[in-house]
Amino acid sequence: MLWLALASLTVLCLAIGTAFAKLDRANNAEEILINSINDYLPQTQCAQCNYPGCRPYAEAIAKGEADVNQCPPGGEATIHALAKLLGRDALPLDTAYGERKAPQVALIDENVCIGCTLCIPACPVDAIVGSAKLMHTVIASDCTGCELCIAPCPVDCISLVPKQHEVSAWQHPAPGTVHRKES
Amino acid sequence: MNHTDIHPLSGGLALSVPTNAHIDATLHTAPLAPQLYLPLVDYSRTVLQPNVTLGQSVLAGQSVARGIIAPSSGTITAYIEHSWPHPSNTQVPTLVLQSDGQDRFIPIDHVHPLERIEAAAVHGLGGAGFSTAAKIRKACEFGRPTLVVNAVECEPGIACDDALMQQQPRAVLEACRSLIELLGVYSAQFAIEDDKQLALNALQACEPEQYAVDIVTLPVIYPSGAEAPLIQRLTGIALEYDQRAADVGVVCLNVATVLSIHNALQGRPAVDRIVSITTQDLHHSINIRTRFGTPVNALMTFAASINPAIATALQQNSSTITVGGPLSGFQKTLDTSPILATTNALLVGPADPVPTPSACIRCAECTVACPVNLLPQELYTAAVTEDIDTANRYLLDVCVLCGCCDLVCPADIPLTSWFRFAKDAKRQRQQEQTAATLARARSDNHNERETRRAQEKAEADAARRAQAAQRKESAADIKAAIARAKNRRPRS
Ligand code: SF4
Ligand code: SF4
Ligand code: SF4
Ligand code: SF4
Ligand code: SF4
Repeated sequence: MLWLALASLTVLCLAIGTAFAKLDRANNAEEILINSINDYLPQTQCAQCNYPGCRPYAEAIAKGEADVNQCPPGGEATIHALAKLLGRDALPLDTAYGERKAPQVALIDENVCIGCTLCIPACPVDAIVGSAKLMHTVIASDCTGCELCIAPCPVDCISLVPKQHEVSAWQHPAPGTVHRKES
Repeated sequence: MNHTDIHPLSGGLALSVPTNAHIDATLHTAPLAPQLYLPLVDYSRTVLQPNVTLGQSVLAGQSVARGIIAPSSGTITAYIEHSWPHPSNTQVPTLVLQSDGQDRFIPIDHVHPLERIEAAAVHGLGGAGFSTAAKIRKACEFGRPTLVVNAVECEPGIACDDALMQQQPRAVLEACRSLIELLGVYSAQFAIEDDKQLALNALQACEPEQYAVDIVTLPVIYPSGAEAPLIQRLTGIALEYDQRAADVGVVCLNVATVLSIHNALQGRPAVDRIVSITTQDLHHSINIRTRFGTPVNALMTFAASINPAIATALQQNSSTITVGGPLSGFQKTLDTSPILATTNALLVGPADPVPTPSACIRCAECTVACPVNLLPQELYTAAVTEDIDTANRYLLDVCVLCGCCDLVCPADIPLTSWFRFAKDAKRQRQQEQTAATLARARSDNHNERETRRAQEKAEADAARRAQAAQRKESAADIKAAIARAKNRRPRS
């Protein structure tokens, strides 16, 4: 009798264990997928994709709720990478979400800033420093140019400027004379 | 010394120089231009901030921005966007120095020799234009370095090092010795091609053994002067694909740079270089010592005034020139762009038209020609599709952009241009990746903090609410007690 009880208990434990492991694995698999998707997103955190940041968008893609062509800062390169990763079609960028722009950073006009601190929590990557009633400033190297600090500023002293001089961003162009095939 | 044990370069090309070429090895000196242009951009194309103000007088050798010095004395008269000799055809922030003609120098008197080299703004004159002090510092991290002096003129049409060695062999050897002393090494390996007979004779006549300089002659195969293959042949050290000479403790410097270092140690800042000016057909070549910042058109006018063949070539095509040699060079409008440390040669006259490429026939000629054993046709396919991962597998980083594959390709594919494009695309992608990783970490931080704050706020609110409820309750208790008391003791 005792043996029977012990045996059934063991079987029960095993069954529960397997069930949990399966659940865990499913969670893990989804987590891994979300992370791999997020790896290809530009991390501008601008919410132009209609999700509150890159990771939420990655989650939506993983769940199949969103297409891969909603991220303007990532542009075609991101779309191609995601399409390849997920085995989906590489659609052209849906411009309803915005157009791809040249890299930019926010600049605070320090003579106008009243130190209201409203821009600080708006910045998704903590690129603004300053404290109450004092002038605020943007750490240009940390700023992703997401534009989210523009709206909250009551005195409109934040503007976006090109991230770097034209010459620093310049790349050798592809030789034009060859007909380029699409990958 | 006999160096028959030097490995031949695998691949590479024996480039034909016209046999009747007239190379003038005299060292001319260009007149000091009234206006010198100083682009404030470093070798990685980062824009630098000026540390002088408009109207300020400066001496030759005085710093005007990090790593950039005034090439002569005068006044800073303008800070403008100005063209510069770069394939991008962009304009960059540039200081204009009105020279006062007196050419007064600021003495370089730092105690530490490397600081002296840094203050003298010595940059590689071979092509890349890296800071020389940084290079030496890096190579010395591994203890006593190996010293290689590179006098292998890479391309036909560039003869500035040849002229220097012919005209000033003793100065060159002395410079090698002072570098040997500075680094604390026993000797320098001095690599030179075996067809530079006049330069070799001049050096041998000065007894290089006296200076602990070991002259190694290499057969004339282009590109023997490329750093990685040169180091492998001279020292047996094979560089990994992502390494430079300094990473393996080798100080590999162009011969003119070595002379600049010597001058810096003597207190003279690096303010000039020798520029080869050659006709496109490579038949005529002259060498002119030129101040940095000299406008290219002024230099051309001077060159035309001393060499009739160059004057004729200039008349045939006075609007564009090639900056650099026939293989590595790029087309540029002839304007007031300044001479920089990296401007080793200018070609005048009409350039050959670019042939129209056809499809790759997989003949593998390019593989045979490649001096670093790559598969250019595979790299090409990867570059065209911007497939950086595949390009990496075919060792994109190892390519030295020598142009050998272009020359042999029967389909006229501009392979090297594609590799330049792919290298830049890769760099861009890496920068984006790094920026994204950092932004992601900061964003995670931000979100975590905001969530925690919201949670803390919610908890605090809940606590306050509970407290208030309790207060209300106790207030009710008190009221009830008062009421009871009232009931017990009715007013009389
Ligand atoms: S649009 Fe792109 S960069 Fe902006 S938050 Fe969405 S995924 Fe991130
Ligand atoms: S500073 Fe403004 S533009 Fe830059 S990351 Fe922060 S919110 Fe975005
Ligand atoms: S929101 Fe505008 S005014 Fe307020 S601190 Fe930021 S920059 Fe200054
Ligand atoms: S040489 Fe030209 S045609 Fe021949 S394999 Fe190489 S790229 Fe193709
Ligand atoms: S350009 Fe690059 S691939 Fe072509 S031959 Fe030179 S090193 Fe090889």
